[in-house]
Amino acid sequence: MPIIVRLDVMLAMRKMTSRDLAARIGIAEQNLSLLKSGKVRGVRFNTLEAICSELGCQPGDLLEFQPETEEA
Amino acid sequence: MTIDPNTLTQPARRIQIVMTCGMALFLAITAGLAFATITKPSSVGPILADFGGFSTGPLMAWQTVALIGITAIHLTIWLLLLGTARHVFRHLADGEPEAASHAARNLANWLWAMLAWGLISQILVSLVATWGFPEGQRAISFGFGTPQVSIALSALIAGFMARAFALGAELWRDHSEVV
Repeated sequence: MPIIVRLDVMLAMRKMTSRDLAARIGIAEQNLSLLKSGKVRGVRFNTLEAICSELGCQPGDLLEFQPETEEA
Repeated sequence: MTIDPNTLTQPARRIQIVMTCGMALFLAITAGLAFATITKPSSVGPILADFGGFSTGPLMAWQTVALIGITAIHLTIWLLLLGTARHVFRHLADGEPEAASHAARNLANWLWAMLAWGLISQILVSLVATWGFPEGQRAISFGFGTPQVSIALSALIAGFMARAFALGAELWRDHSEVV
């Protein structure tokens, strides 16, 4: 998947644990963990909004597009 | 948006109980038929023939056996049908739409079987019940009316439900992978 989730980096920068963030934005810690590891099919706008609002960042700080390199 | 599956699972659990009661009723009827066959075999035949719409006097042994056999197949199909319907609602109550889809497909097949056997058994019952009648009064009955149309419609709806559940299962999987 060429979309990289940078949530762990943002959490480390804010010195916040996944558990704290999950509790603050009201989603299951397990779901946040899945999001952190990129093992999800999508992110709802309201989840993204809650995370950005809590971490004081932009959606672009959380998600990054890395094109898959074609091996010759 | 949070989707609450309880709006589906709770009514499904209630319908599952209704289906279980239906199965219990049909089991009781089957047991009653078995008991009557053992205790009063000569009176079972005319009662079954009367139930099929043919008033007869005493029947020969083979006629009674044939009518009991036809009724037993009817009851078996009803039990399998109710059992499959119970499975559909149990899987829905357990939040397993994919399994419910398979069960609904089986239910549709059993409904078609019920329709086919209903038509065949009507012919057989009329033939067996009127076998001993004088010449000119014997009959072969075949009818396609409201009950048969209802069963055919139910089978079509069950087949459509199977597809809808399969699609629902896919949507549910997709929904659960979005955070």
